[in-house]
Amino acid sequence: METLNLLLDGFGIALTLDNFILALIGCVLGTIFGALPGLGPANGVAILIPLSFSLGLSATSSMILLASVYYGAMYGGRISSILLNIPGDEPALMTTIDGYPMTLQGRAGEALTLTGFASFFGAMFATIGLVLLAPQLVKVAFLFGPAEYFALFVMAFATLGGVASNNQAKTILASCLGLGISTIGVDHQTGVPRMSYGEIDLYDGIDFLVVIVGMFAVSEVFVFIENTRSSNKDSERPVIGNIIPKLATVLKTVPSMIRSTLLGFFAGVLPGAGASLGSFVAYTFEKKISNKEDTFGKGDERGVTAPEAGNNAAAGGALVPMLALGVPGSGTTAVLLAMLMTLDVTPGPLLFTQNPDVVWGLIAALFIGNVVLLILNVPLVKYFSMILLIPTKYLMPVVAMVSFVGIYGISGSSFDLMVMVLFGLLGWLLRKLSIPLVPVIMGVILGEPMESNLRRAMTIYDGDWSKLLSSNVSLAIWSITIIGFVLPFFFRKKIKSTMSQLKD
Amino acid sequence: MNDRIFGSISFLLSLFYIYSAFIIEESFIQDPVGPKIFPYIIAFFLLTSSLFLIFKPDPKPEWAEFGKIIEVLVTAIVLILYAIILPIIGFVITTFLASSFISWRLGATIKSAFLVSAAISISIFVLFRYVLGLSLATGPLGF
Repeated sequence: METLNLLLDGFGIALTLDNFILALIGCVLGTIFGALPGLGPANGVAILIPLSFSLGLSATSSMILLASVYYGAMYGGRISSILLNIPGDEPALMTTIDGYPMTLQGRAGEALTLTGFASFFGAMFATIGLVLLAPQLVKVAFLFGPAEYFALFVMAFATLGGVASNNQAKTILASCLGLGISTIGVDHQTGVPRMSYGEIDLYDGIDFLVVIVGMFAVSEVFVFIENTRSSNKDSERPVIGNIIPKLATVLKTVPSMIRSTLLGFFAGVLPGAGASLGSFVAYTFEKKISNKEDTFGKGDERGVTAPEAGNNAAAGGALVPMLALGVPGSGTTAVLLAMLMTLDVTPGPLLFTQNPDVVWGLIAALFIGNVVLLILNVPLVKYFSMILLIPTKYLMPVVAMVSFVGIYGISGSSFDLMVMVLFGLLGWLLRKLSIPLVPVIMGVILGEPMESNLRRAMTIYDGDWSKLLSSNVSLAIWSITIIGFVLPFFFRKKIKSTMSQLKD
Repeated sequence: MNDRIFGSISFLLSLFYIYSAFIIEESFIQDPVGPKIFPYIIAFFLLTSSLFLIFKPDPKPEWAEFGKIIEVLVTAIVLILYAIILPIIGFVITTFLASSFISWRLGATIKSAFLVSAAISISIFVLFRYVLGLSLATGPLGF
């Protein structure tokens, strides 16, 4: 009952004119970012954070804008997967397998409508799951002390290296780069400068927004420059056709949506997994139980609804640990967390007691956003598909220039802009070497809370390191950490072979 | 560049990082851990993982031809120059130039790159300055 009242208050906040307009803008921009190949939820949120910050939006309003972008990108990713056989963003990869064959059969409109509903189904359920699960997790989280939090942060990094990555050493290296960057500047506890070499510009540390925008937006420009071929032909106009599927087809896909939503939500809540794993698990599972007549990979409707319900459910699920514990499980939720921290809002259990307006306003906005997104993505989908016609040679300059505007708006400093370009270059280099960027970003964002929790714990335990393992909760978290880190060594081969089979 | 080279760079970086942590001056305010231990822990993991890269590298990544890499580096230099002259000359002209460069390198003809970039630069300025009220760099000309 209490939850329901809080949620009603949330709707009061989300339905104010300003916030509603922000949600609307967020949904439109998010769908566009998702639809454009090469740009995904993390890029979209990264570009908009500095802007919402320099525009002076409140924590609630910024969260509503950015979370709408996040949800919107999850919807939009499928558009280019289905029409062009190019995933609009990483989680939409699995949708290409059955989506593009449907387009070749002239059923693109049908595929877009069905996946629009699947996205809505997954996202709606996940948002309800968030309402039910997050407050319970908050109750548990109140039992956590600094030692447990430190363990949770370690777990977030260790499990990142899990199923998603190819090489754990690279994930650790990336995490350390990020954590190392976070230690630059004046030490918060003792006030001594670290790693600064007397540079005044470094005393404040490196703003994580600069790193985020550099790695997620500017590096994208470099990737495009590198891959430009001289024969740059303009993309053809996609034909969508009839968008209304037969009732029988819709009914056939409903069970796949339900199964995939449950799997996706679960995958999303787990630390370090995120939406890509959600859609992967959902597709693989659906194929296993429904592929009786060998129709998967040849344009089976369930092959598009399953990954779309799965990735949208996972996106909602990933918000649970981010809001309730302050420990993000994916790149985009880490970036959302960064924004809250920039606005001096501490995520975690205290967020629910001290800033209930942020949490419940956000959740209510997600419900509203879902309805808006359903309208944008089913009846209006053909207008968004036209965005795919904008050539990258005109699009990337906009992405780059808006990134500069955002960062310059915060600090007005050329130094920050230069650092941002350098991080863009570093991001490009790391991507070439298939070193993941998400751990770097998470390291930069989580380094400070991770270290301060460790040091607070040591102050409480008077410098006795063995006390880090003294409670059952921290023992449990450390065990999960080790299992989560070691287990993928045994499963990776199997997952990889399944992956490559599916891609063929 | 392959994993071995990057691993070696990271290895040197971790040594430099250890040194940087070692020379942190301790303050009179002290907690049991102090400002050095956390950097040491990070350095340990950085060092270990860089050794893994050196001794167990992944297959070499595919590098684009040399010219493309130079192009990426030149773009980075252009963007750094952009950052330097932005507050001096002002938003509209510098953004027009930087945007034209990127657009041109992504395959647009010079003429269309100029036209589109003029539109991009002016519309971003109008949108953010006058509609959203953000402070953008203004040079001596006021834009």
